[in-house]
Amino acid sequence: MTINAHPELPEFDYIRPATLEEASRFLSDHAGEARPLLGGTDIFVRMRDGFWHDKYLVDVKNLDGTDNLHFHPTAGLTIGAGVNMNRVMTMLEVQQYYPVLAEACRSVASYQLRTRATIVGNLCNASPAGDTIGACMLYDGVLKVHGVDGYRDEPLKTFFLGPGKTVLKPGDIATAIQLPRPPAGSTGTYIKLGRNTWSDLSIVGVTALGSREPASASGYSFHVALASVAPVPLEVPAVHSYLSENNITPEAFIEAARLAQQACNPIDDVRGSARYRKAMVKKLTEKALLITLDRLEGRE
Amino acid sequence: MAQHAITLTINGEWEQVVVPSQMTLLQMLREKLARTGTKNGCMAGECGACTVLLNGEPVNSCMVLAVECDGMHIVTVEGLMQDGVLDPVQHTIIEHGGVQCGFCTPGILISARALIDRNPDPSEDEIREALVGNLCRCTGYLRIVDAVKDAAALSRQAATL
Amino acid sequence: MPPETITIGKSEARKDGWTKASGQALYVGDIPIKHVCIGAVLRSPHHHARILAIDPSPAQMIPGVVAVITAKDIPGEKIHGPLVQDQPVLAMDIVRHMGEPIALVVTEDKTAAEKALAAIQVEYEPLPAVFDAEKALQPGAPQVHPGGNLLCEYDVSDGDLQEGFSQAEVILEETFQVPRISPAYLEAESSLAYFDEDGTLTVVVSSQKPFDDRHHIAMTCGLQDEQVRVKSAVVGGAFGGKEDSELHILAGLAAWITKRPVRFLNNRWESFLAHPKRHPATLHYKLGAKADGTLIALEALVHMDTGAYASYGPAVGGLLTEMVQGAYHIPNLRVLTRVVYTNSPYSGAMRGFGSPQAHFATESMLDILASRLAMDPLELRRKNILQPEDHFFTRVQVGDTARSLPLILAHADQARQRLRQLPAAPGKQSGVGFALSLQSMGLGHRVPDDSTNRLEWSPEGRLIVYLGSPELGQGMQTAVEQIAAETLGIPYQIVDTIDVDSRISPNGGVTCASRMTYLLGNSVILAAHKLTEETLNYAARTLNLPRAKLEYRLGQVILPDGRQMPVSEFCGRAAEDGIVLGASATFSFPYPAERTPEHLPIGMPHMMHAFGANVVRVEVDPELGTVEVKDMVAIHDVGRVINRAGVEGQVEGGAVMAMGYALYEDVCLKENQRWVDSFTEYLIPTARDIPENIEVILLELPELSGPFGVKGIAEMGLVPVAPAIANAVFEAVGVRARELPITPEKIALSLVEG
Repeated sequence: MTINAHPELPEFDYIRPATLEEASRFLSDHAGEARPLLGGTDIFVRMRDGFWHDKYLVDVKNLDGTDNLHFHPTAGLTIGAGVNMNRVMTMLEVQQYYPVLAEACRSVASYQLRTRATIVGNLCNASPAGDTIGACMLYDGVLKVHGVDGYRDEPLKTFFLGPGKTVLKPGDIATAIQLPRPPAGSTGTYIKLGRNTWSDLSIVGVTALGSREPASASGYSFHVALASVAPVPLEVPAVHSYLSENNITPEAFIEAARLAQQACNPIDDVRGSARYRKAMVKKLTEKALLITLDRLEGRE
Repeated sequence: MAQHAITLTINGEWEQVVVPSQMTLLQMLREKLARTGTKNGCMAGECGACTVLLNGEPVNSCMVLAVECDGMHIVTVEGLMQDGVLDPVQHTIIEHGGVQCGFCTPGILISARALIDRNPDPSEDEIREALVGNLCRCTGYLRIVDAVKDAAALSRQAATL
Repeated sequence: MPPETITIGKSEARKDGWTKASGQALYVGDIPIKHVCIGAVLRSPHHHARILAIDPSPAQMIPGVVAVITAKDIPGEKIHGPLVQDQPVLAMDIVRHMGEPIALVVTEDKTAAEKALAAIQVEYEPLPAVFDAEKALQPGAPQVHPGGNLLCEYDVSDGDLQEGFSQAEVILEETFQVPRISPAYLEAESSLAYFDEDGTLTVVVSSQKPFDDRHHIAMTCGLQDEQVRVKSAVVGGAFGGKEDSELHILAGLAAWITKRPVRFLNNRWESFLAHPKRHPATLHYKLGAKADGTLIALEALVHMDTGAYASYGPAVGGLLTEMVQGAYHIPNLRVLTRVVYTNSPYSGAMRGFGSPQAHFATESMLDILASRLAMDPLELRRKNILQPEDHFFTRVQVGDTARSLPLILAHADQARQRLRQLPAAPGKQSGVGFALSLQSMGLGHRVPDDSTNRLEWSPEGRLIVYLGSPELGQGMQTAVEQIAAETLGIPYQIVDTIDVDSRISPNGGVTCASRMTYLLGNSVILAAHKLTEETLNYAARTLNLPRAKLEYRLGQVILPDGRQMPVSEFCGRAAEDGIVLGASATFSFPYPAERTPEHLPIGMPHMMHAFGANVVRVEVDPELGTVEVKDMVAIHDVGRVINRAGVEGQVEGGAVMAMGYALYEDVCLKENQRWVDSFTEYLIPTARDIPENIEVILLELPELSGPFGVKGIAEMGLVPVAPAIANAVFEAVGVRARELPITPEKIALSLVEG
């Protein structure tokens, strides 16, 4: 057992490749001892805590468009891997078309941490507590990944394998997250429950997204994703099906919240017990759905 | 251990430095360049005592590698004063009694200056939100928030002169 | 109305504001020293273990390593402790808590330090550990020290408990728990040791007690105190935690052995685990009252977890015991306090020094009683407050300070009415709660409790204060400068303070115990009078006039013909004559016999007290359990306001720190057997968490022995806040918090599960 955490970062080599090809090749050639670096907000903490000991950090922030933030009226939003959260949440089109993502970004830590923290980094870090992951999942996010064999797409729905584990392989670099344009008028909320008013990691996080959906029996489409209550960021499809098939009433939201509660599988930690988390998933899901409906109806 | 030669400006002055990969911006400022105004409070991006401006935006300098700052512009607390005159945020934090032990003060001042630069007339809520990453254990923050409010007003006045 | 003043009562800007806000203030980590070595500490990964072997040799081979130091290298005393000598400087055969120092490395760079720490080979035999004070006293519990786990015990009684309970018409029993919390100053502990220009071992400390540090450093190095020089750097917060000498001893030792300059900077992790915390405690209360609310008997059994070493545990236990009584007359009272060793990080001094723990229990208990009797909690208190002629259960007479209590209650009542009218946000429930507080000033009867300070005129006629105790950020230096300026009738602006340097400063005592403005202020007033006398004597000599013909007024020497000569003229002349116009004076805390009966049931009762109250409005989300403190009114009798902004800042800062105690903070064991050791897990209040407003109402009922009437304020602002919040939460949602911190989880689950 060692407890002498590293006050300073341990030794490693910082690599700044000229192209993504070079970066992927380097990462693949040094599998197990190299890691792509974006904002570093998680990497540095883990290295100081002695959990990670990579020999190389490969900076992929300013490569081949990883710094782009772009909205296209039909294709939707592309957030480059190097784009920080403050930039995302202050972009007008994000506020207009992806308000839940803006809200989720705003809940992350502090302004100065968000100057470095990136959404793609948040996704790749695959923490069950990642605040922006739920929004990216519900907006049907697809990661653009550059590997040794070139580009491919990785939908978020199948991206997460466990705490800190994703489908990415050595040599893979997530270069951007693409979010298709959501249905007109879609809106929702991110509710983060922490021990204090703002800066804590979430005890429970609930993302809800809703839109009018003439094709569904209820006339609405609602999606819910949960943070900090399962080994992976969790979307709850049962909520979507239930609220598509049943009339939208306060009772239906309570039932949907119960379904969310059933779907989750939290643990005990310093921030809260599994029992509390489970209870809160129900309350917060109901609350998030009510807020979403209010916003859809223009009541807020 | 790879060393990197980097060039950057600190408070407007060009500096050339050779840094190892793992050296943080905070370490470089304090240990290589003797700019000790920026403080080390937690080394985890939590306390904000090490906040500096990196290309005009506040960052926790303990969470940025020095080598990442090649070609960039850094402003530290030492750079807030212009021609021997305190920045309004410095002036008002003293006047309001917002300084006690002073260890959080440099980071607070940088966050406050950045806030006023991006939002010249911040509301009280906006000020509190902007300071959430700067812990202070002495003052209870109220005087700091008031000081930032006043500093914003002074900065607006100065801008209209 | 107090008389017109020059500076007393005004919010003068503190003189260190400019250096701090411009980034030029030098904390220990900022002081430039050529070729300074890195000092780092190898710390125990075990809660409790026997050390079978330590092999430093692999570390000694690493390039850049100057020395690896273990206990056997210590030339002097190997054990230290401020009150009880029980703490190894470096562990010898046993480690008793996670984070305990085992070896030091002195290296030329940080990389070598990291490698050296990893290379030292220590063989441990883990031993069973105990983390709970009550369990530690049970038979068969792991023994932390050979003498047993009970460090000390106080059993203090007044009246006849049995008789009291027999008269009681209602008897309540409750158990309260308060957590281990960290001072969490932004500047972690730090120390810099080097050899000054004449080769003297010099240690620059971030400390509340440089002179005591010097003594411990000297003992460890096998030196006389005078062979060590200590200097105070700018201190980045202390709150009691920097009454701990450990890191300064290690730094002094490392420099003494290596003959190299060495700097030790604890990281945040080390600060959490290896430096003193506020004592966690379990307080079991049995309270008896008449049906009309008259308190008649209280029996309290308190277990305090002092962790692996005593530190200030015995003194904290004593003060906690005294504070259980609170602001109330309780004729039959017994407090039994046990201070117990465990394998937790050690507890010691922290702001309030036992008082926050006692007040959480006492002030919660009174609200529970009020609720049981269907009485207004404020009326219940009004019925039972101490009167000047009462005595505390320590037998110390309460005295005039109790005259503040009716005023405090009146203000609290007004505040409560006003706050109750404020509406809650949609979905939230509002509650207003309050608590009274008692806090002592000073170290206690029969404890050396004095301070020496020195004043000098500079050749230019500025006043130099050689302060014998370090400023910690709280602003006492400003207050003392104002007192000196007022006494000498000169502007505050021409007073300068020299920070503590044992070579030139008198010993002013430990900066602690809400006593500094009082103690140093009194000492400075005495010195100012002596300085005036000396100045007039010198003036008489130089002017060839009889001393009796001269007067001093407002920085001027008044000549027999009425002409005035500024003091600065004489200062310049004196300097030319090789004379320094200066004076030192010692003030000792008075323990007047008429207020102290001969037979005291507790060793070192405190004599000077002040009362206060805190009223808070919280909004609770009844579904999530979250608590927001929306408004706060703090009412405190400070005797006399010296610097208004400074006093208000102390109250506000203390109140917000106490919010953390009430709602967020706990250095607890995690599921992986590691203690909470970072700000990620250990939340302290941020700018978002604080109330929209804290109104500070300062009462000024003078303490006759105080400088200009001053009492003390540094700790009191914090003391009533946690119980006030708990009482407000009860009013909001009917949940009684018996345990701090009051997390959303505790509230939500008790609302769901009853």
